[in-house]
Amino acid sequence: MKTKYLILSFVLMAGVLAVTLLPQAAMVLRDKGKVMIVDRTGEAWDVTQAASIGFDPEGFQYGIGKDAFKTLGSDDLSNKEPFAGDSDRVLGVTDGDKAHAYFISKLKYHEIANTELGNQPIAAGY
Amino acid sequence: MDLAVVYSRELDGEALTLTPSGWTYKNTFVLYDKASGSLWYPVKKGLKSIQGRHFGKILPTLPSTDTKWGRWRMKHPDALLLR
Repeated sequence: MKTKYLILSFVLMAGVLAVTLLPQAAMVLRDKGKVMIVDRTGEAWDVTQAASIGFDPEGFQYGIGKDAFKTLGSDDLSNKEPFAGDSDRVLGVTDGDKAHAYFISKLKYHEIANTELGNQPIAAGY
Repeated sequence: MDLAVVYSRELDGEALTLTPSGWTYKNTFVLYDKASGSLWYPVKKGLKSIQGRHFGKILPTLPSTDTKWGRWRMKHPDALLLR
Protein backbone atom coordinates (compact mmCIF):
# COMPACT_ATOMS: atom_id res chain seq x y z
CA MET A 1 0.00 0.00 0.00
CA LYS A 2 2.75 2.45 1.02
CA THR A 3 4.84 1.67 -2.07
CA LYS A 4 1.91 2.49 -4.34
CA TYR A 5 1.53 5.93 -2.79
CA LEU A 6 5.26 6.55 -3.04
CA ILE A 7 5.27 5.70 -6.73
CA LEU A 8 2.20 7.83 -7.32
CA SER A 9 3.69 10.89 -5.60
CA PHE A 10 6.88 10.43 -7.55
CA VAL A 11 5.00 10.31 -10.83
CA LEU A 12 3.00 13.39 -9.86
CA MET A 13 6.15 15.31 -8.92
CA ALA A 14 7.84 14.31 -12.16
CA GLY A 15 4.76 15.49 -14.03
CA VAL A 16 4.73 18.89 -12.34
CA LEU A 17 8.44 19.30 -12.98
CA ALA A 18 8.05 18.40 -16.65
CA VAL A 19 5.25 20.90 -17.13
CA THR A 20 7.12 23.80 -15.54
CA LEU A 21 10.23 23.15 -17.64
CA LEU A 22 8.34 22.80 -20.90
CA PRO A 23 8.97 25.53 -23.43
CA GLN A 24 5.75 27.48 -23.36
CA ALA A 25 4.43 28.57 -26.70
CA ALA A 26 4.14 32.33 -26.94
CA MET A 27 0.91 34.12 -26.05
CA VAL A 28 -0.04 35.55 -29.41
CA LEU A 29 -2.03 38.77 -29.85
CA ARG A 30 -3.40 39.90 -33.18
CA ASP A 31 -4.80 43.37 -33.64
CA LYS A 32 -5.24 45.65 -36.67
CA GLY A 33 -2.89 43.61 -38.84
CA LYS A 34 -0.16 43.45 -36.19
CA VAL A 35 1.01 40.26 -34.58
CA MET A 36 2.55 40.42 -31.12
CA ILE A 37 3.92 37.76 -28.81
CA VAL A 38 4.04 38.29 -25.06
CA ASP A 39 6.85 36.85 -22.98
CA ARG A 40 6.88 35.65 -19.38
CA THR A 41 7.92 39.07 -18.10
CA GLY A 42 4.85 40.56 -19.72
CA GLU A 43 6.74 42.31 -22.51
CA ALA A 44 5.06 42.34 -25.91
CA TRP A 45 7.19 41.78 -29.02
CA ASP A 46 6.06 42.83 -32.48
CA VAL A 47 6.60 39.92 -34.89
CA THR A 48 4.45 41.15 -37.77
CA GLN A 49 7.35 41.29 -40.22
CA ALA A 50 8.69 37.93 -39.05
CA ALA A 51 5.27 36.38 -39.62
CA SER A 52 5.24 37.83 -43.14
CA ILE A 53 8.38 35.86 -44.01
CA GLY A 54 7.14 32.57 -42.62
CA PHE A 55 7.85 32.67 -38.90
CA ASP A 56 4.89 31.12 -37.10
CA PRO A 57 4.10 33.34 -34.07
CA GLU A 58 3.13 30.23 -32.13
CA GLY A 59 6.60 28.83 -32.86
CA PHE A 60 8.39 31.30 -30.61
CA GLN A 61 9.11 29.54 -27.34
CA TYR A 62 10.31 30.18 -23.80
CA GLY A 63 10.07 33.99 -23.83
CA ILE A 64 12.03 34.26 -20.60
CA GLY A 65 12.75 37.94 -21.20
CA LYS A 66 15.62 39.93 -22.66
CA ASP A 67 17.47 40.31 -19.36
CA ALA A 68 17.61 36.59 -18.61
CA PHE A 69 21.20 36.21 -19.77
CA LYS A 70 24.34 38.08 -18.89
CA THR A 71 26.19 38.97 -22.05
CA LEU A 72 29.92 39.38 -22.27
CA GLY A 73 31.91 42.26 -23.67
CA SER A 74 35.39 43.66 -24.24
CA ASP A 75 35.96 44.02 -20.49
CA ASP A 76 35.94 40.24 -20.30
CA LEU A 77 38.88 39.90 -22.70
CA SER A 78 42.33 39.55 -21.17
CA ASN A 79 45.88 38.58 -21.97
CA LYS A 80 46.91 38.28 -18.33
CA GLU A 81 48.37 35.13 -16.75
CA PRO A 82 47.06 31.95 -18.31
CA PHE A 83 43.81 30.83 -16.71
CA ALA A 84 43.13 28.37 -19.50
CA GLY A 85 44.58 24.92 -20.01
CA ASP A 86 46.27 24.16 -23.29
CA SER A 87 43.69 21.53 -24.11
CA ASP A 88 40.67 23.72 -23.33
CA ARG A 89 38.45 24.00 -26.37
CA VAL A 90 38.25 27.57 -27.71
CA LEU A 91 36.83 29.41 -30.67
CA GLY A 92 39.65 31.41 -32.24
CA VAL A 93 39.12 34.43 -34.48
CA THR A 94 41.66 36.72 -36.11
CA ASP A 95 41.69 39.59 -38.57
CA GLY A 96 45.27 38.79 -39.53
CA ASP A 97 46.60 41.21 -36.92
CA LYS A 98 44.61 40.87 -33.69
CA ALA A 99 43.37 37.55 -32.33
CA HIS A 100 40.79 36.49 -29.76
CA ALA A 101 39.92 33.14 -28.21
CA TYR A 102 36.57 32.30 -26.61
CA PHE A 103 36.02 29.32 -24.34
CA ILE A 104 33.40 27.23 -26.12
CA SER A 105 32.01 26.23 -22.72
CA LYS A 106 31.56 29.87 -21.74
CA LEU A 107 29.84 30.76 -24.99
CA LYS A 108 27.43 27.90 -24.45
CA TYR A 109 26.47 29.32 -21.07
CA HIS A 110 26.41 33.06 -21.80
CA GLU A 111 25.45 32.65 -25.41
CA ILE A 112 26.83 35.94 -26.79
CA ALA A 113 29.97 38.06 -26.43
CA ASN A 114 30.06 41.50 -28.09
CA THR A 115 33.62 42.69 -28.59
CA GLU A 116 35.92 44.50 -31.02
CA LEU A 117 38.56 42.63 -32.97
CA GLY A 118 40.88 45.50 -33.85
CA ASN A 119 38.36 47.94 -35.36
CA GLN A 120 35.82 45.29 -36.27
CA PRO A 121 32.83 44.88 -33.95
CA ILE A 122 32.09 41.18 -33.63
CA ALA A 123 29.72 38.91 -31.80
CA ALA A 124 30.75 35.40 -30.75
CA GLY A 125 28.11 32.93 -29.83
CA TYR A 126 27.06 29.36 -29.73
CA MET B 1 22.97 28.62 -33.03
CA ASP B 2 24.12 25.05 -32.99
CA LEU B 3 27.80 25.65 -33.41
CA ALA B 4 30.26 28.18 -32.10
CA VAL B 5 30.22 31.08 -34.54
CA VAL B 6 31.43 34.66 -34.97
CA TYR B 7 29.42 37.37 -36.72
CA SER B 8 30.25 40.88 -37.76
CA ARG B 9 27.91 43.18 -35.83
CA GLU B 10 28.60 46.27 -37.90
CA LEU B 11 25.76 47.55 -40.05
CA ASP B 12 25.70 50.78 -42.06
CA GLY B 13 28.55 52.16 -40.00
CA GLU B 14 27.00 51.43 -36.61
CA ALA B 15 27.86 48.64 -34.19
CA LEU B 16 24.88 46.65 -33.01
CA THR B 17 24.83 44.96 -29.61
CA LEU B 18 23.38 41.48 -29.89
CA THR B 19 21.77 39.86 -26.88
CA PRO B 20 19.42 36.91 -26.48
CA SER B 21 15.81 38.08 -26.73
CA GLY B 22 14.71 35.35 -24.36
CA TRP B 23 12.89 33.66 -27.23
CA THR B 24 13.82 30.58 -29.17
CA TYR B 25 12.46 29.56 -32.54
CA LYS B 26 12.97 25.96 -33.61
CA ASN B 27 15.34 25.45 -30.69
CA THR B 28 17.54 28.32 -31.82
CA PHE B 29 18.11 31.55 -29.95
CA VAL B 30 16.49 34.66 -31.43
CA LEU B 31 18.82 37.62 -30.92
CA TYR B 32 17.93 41.23 -30.22
CA ASP B 33 19.56 44.62 -30.74
CA LYS B 34 18.11 47.09 -28.26
CA ALA B 35 19.13 50.30 -30.07
CA SER B 36 17.37 49.41 -33.32
CA GLY B 37 14.71 47.19 -31.78
CA SER B 38 15.57 44.47 -34.26
CA LEU B 39 15.35 40.71 -34.02
CA TRP B 40 17.95 38.43 -35.64
CA TYR B 41 17.91 34.78 -36.60
CA PRO B 42 20.72 32.61 -37.95
CA VAL B 43 20.71 31.75 -41.65
CA LYS B 44 23.40 30.22 -43.87
CA LYS B 45 25.36 33.41 -44.50
CA GLY B 46 25.05 34.85 -41.02
CA LEU B 47 22.32 36.54 -38.99
CA LYS B 48 19.24 37.82 -40.76
CA SER B 49 17.01 40.51 -39.31
CA ILE B 50 13.50 39.10 -39.13
CA GLN B 51 11.88 42.13 -37.46
CA GLY B 52 12.51 45.82 -36.93
CA ARG B 53 14.39 48.70 -38.53
CA HIS B 54 16.94 46.42 -40.25
CA PHE B 55 14.39 43.93 -41.56
CA GLY B 56 15.91 41.72 -44.24
CA LYS B 57 19.52 42.75 -43.69
CA ILE B 58 22.23 40.23 -42.97
CA LEU B 59 25.16 40.34 -40.55
CA PRO B 60 27.74 38.03 -42.12
CA THR B 61 29.53 35.15 -40.40
CA LEU B 62 33.26 35.67 -40.02
CA PRO B 63 35.80 32.85 -40.31
CA SER B 64 36.70 31.31 -36.96
CA THR B 65 38.54 28.25 -35.74
CA ASP B 66 37.29 25.64 -33.27
CA THR B 67 40.55 24.60 -31.68
CA LYS B 68 42.48 24.21 -28.42
CA TRP B 69 43.90 27.09 -26.44
CA GLY B 70 47.48 25.71 -26.54
CA ARG B 71 47.43 25.49 -30.32
CA TRP B 72 45.83 28.90 -30.79
CA ARG B 73 48.23 30.83 -28.58
CA MET B 74 51.21 29.24 -30.31
CA LYS B 75 49.96 30.79 -33.56
CA HIS B 76 48.81 34.01 -31.89
CA PRO B 77 50.92 34.71 -28.79
CA ASP B 78 49.16 38.05 -28.17
CA ALA B 79 45.67 36.62 -28.41
CA LEU B 80 43.12 37.98 -25.93
CA LEU B 81 41.13 35.32 -24.12
CA LEU B 82 37.55 35.80 -22.98
CA ARG B 83 37.50 35.05 -19.27
